[in-house]
Amino acid sequence: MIRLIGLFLLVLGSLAAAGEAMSLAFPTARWFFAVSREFPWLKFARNGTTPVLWFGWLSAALLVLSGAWIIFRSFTSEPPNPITLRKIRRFREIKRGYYSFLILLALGCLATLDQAVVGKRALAVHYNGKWTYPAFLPTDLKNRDFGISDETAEAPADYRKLQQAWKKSDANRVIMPLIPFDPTGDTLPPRSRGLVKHDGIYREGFRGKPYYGLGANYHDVTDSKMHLRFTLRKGVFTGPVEGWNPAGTPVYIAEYKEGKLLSDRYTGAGTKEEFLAAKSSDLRAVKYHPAPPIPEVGNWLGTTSEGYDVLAYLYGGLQVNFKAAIIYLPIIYFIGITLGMMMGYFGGWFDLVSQRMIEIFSNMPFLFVVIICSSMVPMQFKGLPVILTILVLFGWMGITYLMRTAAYRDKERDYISAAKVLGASTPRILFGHLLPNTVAILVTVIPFTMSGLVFALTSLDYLGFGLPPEYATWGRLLNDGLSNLSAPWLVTSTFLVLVGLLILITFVGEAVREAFDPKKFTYYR
Amino acid sequence: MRCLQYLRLFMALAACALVTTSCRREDKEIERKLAFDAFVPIYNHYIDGWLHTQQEFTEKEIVRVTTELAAAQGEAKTALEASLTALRIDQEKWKFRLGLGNYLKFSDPAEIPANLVWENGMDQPEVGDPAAKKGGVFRRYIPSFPPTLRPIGPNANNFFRGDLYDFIDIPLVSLHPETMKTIPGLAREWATSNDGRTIYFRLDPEARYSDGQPIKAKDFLITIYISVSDNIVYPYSKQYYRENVAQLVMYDDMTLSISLPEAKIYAPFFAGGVQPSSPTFYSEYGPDYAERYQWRFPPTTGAYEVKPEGIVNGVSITQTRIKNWWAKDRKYYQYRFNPDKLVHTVVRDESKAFELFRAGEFDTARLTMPQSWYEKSEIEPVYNGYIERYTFYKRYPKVPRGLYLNVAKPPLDDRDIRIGIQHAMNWQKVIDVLFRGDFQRLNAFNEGYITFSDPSIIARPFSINLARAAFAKAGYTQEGRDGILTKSDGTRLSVSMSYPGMPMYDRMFAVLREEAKSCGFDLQLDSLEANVLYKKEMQKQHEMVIGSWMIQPPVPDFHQFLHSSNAIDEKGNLKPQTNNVFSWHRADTDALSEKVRAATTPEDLRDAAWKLQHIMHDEAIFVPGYTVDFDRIGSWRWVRWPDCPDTRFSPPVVYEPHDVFTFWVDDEMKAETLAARRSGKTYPESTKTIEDYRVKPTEPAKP
Repeated sequence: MIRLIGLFLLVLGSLAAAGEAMSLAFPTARWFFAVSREFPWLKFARNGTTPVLWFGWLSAALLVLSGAWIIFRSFTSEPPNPITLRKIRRFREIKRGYYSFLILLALGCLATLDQAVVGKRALAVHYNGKWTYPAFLPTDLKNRDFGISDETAEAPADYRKLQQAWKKSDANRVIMPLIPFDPTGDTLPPRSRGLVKHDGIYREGFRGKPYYGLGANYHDVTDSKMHLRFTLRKGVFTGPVEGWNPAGTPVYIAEYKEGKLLSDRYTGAGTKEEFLAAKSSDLRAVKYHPAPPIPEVGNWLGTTSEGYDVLAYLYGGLQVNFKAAIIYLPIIYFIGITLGMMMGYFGGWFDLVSQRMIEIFSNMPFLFVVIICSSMVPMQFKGLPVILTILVLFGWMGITYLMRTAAYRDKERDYISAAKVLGASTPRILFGHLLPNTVAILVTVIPFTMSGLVFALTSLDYLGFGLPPEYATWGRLLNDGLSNLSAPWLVTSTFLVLVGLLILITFVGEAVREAFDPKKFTYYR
Repeated sequence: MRCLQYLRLFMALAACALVTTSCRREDKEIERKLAFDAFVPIYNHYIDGWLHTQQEFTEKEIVRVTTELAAAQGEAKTALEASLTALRIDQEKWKFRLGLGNYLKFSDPAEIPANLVWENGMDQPEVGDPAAKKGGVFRRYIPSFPPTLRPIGPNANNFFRGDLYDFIDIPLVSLHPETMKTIPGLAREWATSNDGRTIYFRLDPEARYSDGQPIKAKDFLITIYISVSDNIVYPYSKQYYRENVAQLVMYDDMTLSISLPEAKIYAPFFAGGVQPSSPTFYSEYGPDYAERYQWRFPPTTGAYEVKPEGIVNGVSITQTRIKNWWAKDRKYYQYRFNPDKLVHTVVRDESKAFELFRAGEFDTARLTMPQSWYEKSEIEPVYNGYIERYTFYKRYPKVPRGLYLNVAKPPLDDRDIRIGIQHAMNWQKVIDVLFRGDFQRLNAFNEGYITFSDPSIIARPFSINLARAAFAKAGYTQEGRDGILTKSDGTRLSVSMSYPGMPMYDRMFAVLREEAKSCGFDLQLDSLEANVLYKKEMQKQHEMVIGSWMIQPPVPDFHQFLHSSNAIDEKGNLKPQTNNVFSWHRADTDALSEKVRAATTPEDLRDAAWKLQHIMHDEAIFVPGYTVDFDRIGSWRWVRWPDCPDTRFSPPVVYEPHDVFTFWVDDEMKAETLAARRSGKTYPESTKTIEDYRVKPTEPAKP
């Protein structure tokens, strides 16, 4: 287990460095250099020269070194404490928690796969006898690189369109990720779903009810370029009809009643008959955003009102949550543990002053601080770092108190006295002796801190004070769903995912608490 | 203990004393009466003094500019010449105004020039449908309770003002909502002086307030008193009357004249905007006017009054039609203002209001937004024909909604960059994705003023190649790792876009940003709280900002947006708190925007306005966004809308069809529909499009 973690870190670090050196973008591993590039204070830049991305290199080096050290230590260190082994065995025996843990781990791995699973850039393109791997390149390829020379030639390549266009050709191929949409910044054209005509009545699916709503023939279904748009009642044309020429100019107006044409008017070039006979798709139900789930166009859970794919958006939200947890948890635990142990161990004035400070912090209205910050911080600095800073600022207090009590209790114990007598320094006593003996308390609260974080992020986004719109966040999706109650797929999917994640984390938390319960293994004398 | 008791006794006594004395003192100090006669000489004196100061200032400026002009060269010279012309116009204006004499004047009928041509405007088509029935109750919702009912003073300019006064009150003269020609109101006849600045009005002898009192010429002068006296703290109205009205003269009870500082097109309409105020109603006018009159509805010249029992604080306001209204048989008003009662109920949540409409608790709903037109109104009452839906194409100026570029901020000072930005904004995608292709692209600033807008200007379409070509011309030739163009010195092509943080705008700019990126342009989104944004904009600290400045017909205005006096101060710094958010200043636009303001013929106005529109288009300082030239309304079947040769559904020059009150409520149909609804009887679904007044859409330009 330990060895696996080490290996993971080692691989991650070396992939990051290798990717940077070879100009490849590996999933997740690219993140360190991307961040380093994005923030001016994470790189050295001198005019005219290429900037030195110290943050990227430093984190890659740290990852490789710590990975290697963990692996090395796992071979050289003495066998682990039998009590710890028993605790782990006990954890495995609690099936609910253990499986939840495995699922979470799997989700975490899935989240690290990033653009290999979810994204609008193709995994691999076979064009003119040559393979390229756009998803793993640091820059976007352009449409002209794939032989498109129209108006969009200079735009980043649209692989979904290429795939559509090359469907029939054997020479060229596009392999898309599992979900071929980006979580954000990938607005889809309005969706549509095929209608089935049976006995002169249009239905959604063979057994569906007669269709009420808008239906259209499309010049181009993927781009949502409409030819004729009808209003349907009980599955037949009733109401106004509008028509557009392929350039998108409205040229035709008509009125139907119970399937019969009442009047029509054509104002475009050519004759009306030519216009009506123009080649276009079969009648399809028009589904504007937020569109319901339509598997035939790849939106398994529908689209949001921004026109993003819900499944991709949920995935993006999951990544944000994990990313936030990976940054947030170590920081608050480091601050909380250090300060808490010092408070408990030293006591006296230090304890009193720190406690008052914590009281001041915990009495500050968190939401107001967030609101003020979000209106003051300039847009270019908004994002995960700012939100996490605020959350960290208000998140470390609880752990301090836990550690303080633990340190108070344990500092009178024999092993601390023994360490003192042997002449150990204070940091050594704190981190080498006190911390390992109180770790059980901490391990049990980690999962709950994480669910708290997920919840905090979601609620801040729900209120509109969270992350900027470039981030996919569950809170915003929830908000979107609640203001579009007629689009239940938004609320249900977000709710299920959010609650699912929180439940998994809570199960793990409960199992850990049970497994690490000191009463099972130790006795007070 | 004893001490405490004494203290208590003392306090009680003190309180008593305070109460009694304060009552007496109030009676003595606050004088509530209509002190109009005493006010007139004071105010005339004040205006005279103010005009003299203005004149002196202008003359000093002229001297200064003339001396500077002698030494100036090149561009500075043309700028100074333009400001000199503007100052000369001002100088002439002050001279004219000082020549008029007293601001509020009582004169003799003999003073009216004899050679006036009197008009009565009776040759225009009728407004509304002769089939309209009087009666019934019309129910609507308001999003909140208005802060006051006063027509004048603090907070009077609130959202509900239109329904209470502006749409209801009959002005001296108004513009016909289709032909835009002047039609009579309180004035039966009017005449314009030879210099075009003074309008003479003869009041309709039958014109009455809702309390039955006749309307007299003096009442218009009283309005000035009410609006500008020291009893009121509302600088806007004081400034308005000081600067936009030159003189009010009363000749006899039925005749008055109003002078404007400059001759302009539609002068009778602009002069005729002054409303009369009933002297009996304002007999308690005093320093506590704002509080005392907070919830009193003044006697109105219009068809609806608000009775004290019609005000349910925080809940609803009911307007009642006046029986025997004086204008009920007048040509342009006879088929309007039909329902007996208009009930406005507060519903704070828009979606709840829609549900109440669906349930039949409100009579009409606006369905212009695509979501309410498509998904939300796919409901049983619509299928069953109980709710009828209309799309009405109107002919109202288009709100200049789009991106305002601050040319003082680099790189927006470069015209090529601005042109590139025009091509990099994919509004069509915004319209297709967010507005279901129903809305149109706006083509120019101040579009839609029929003759005063140039229909040949077409907004630049989204085009990756043209955008990149323009950016390349400005020196942005290399492409960074993230696909954003950079100059050879490493400057990224990035501009911040400030907008109010609302979900709709978030969505819109997410699309624009995404598409701009394919042009190599980084649109940095800066979503701000509305007040913060407004402050930033007024400080001219923005780079690009979204705006939609509402302008009233009949004439467009460019002065506030383009004139240099609103862009920079004497030292050349950006001037805060003005509407010139472009920070645009150039001599020729100054001259042209002055010309638009002071044009006396439609031709002059059109020439100048068209030229300005072209300059704005060529300089690409305004990125036209989207617009909509129709209103969509859902109304229960018993609400009938005009359908006759003179008026199809509604007169075309309206912001919103409800504003002209040409609809009526048919009580018989209501009973019938409600019965049908109970018994399950249905009518054919009705969705109508009224295109009679539609201005032909222009073909989009081929890229």
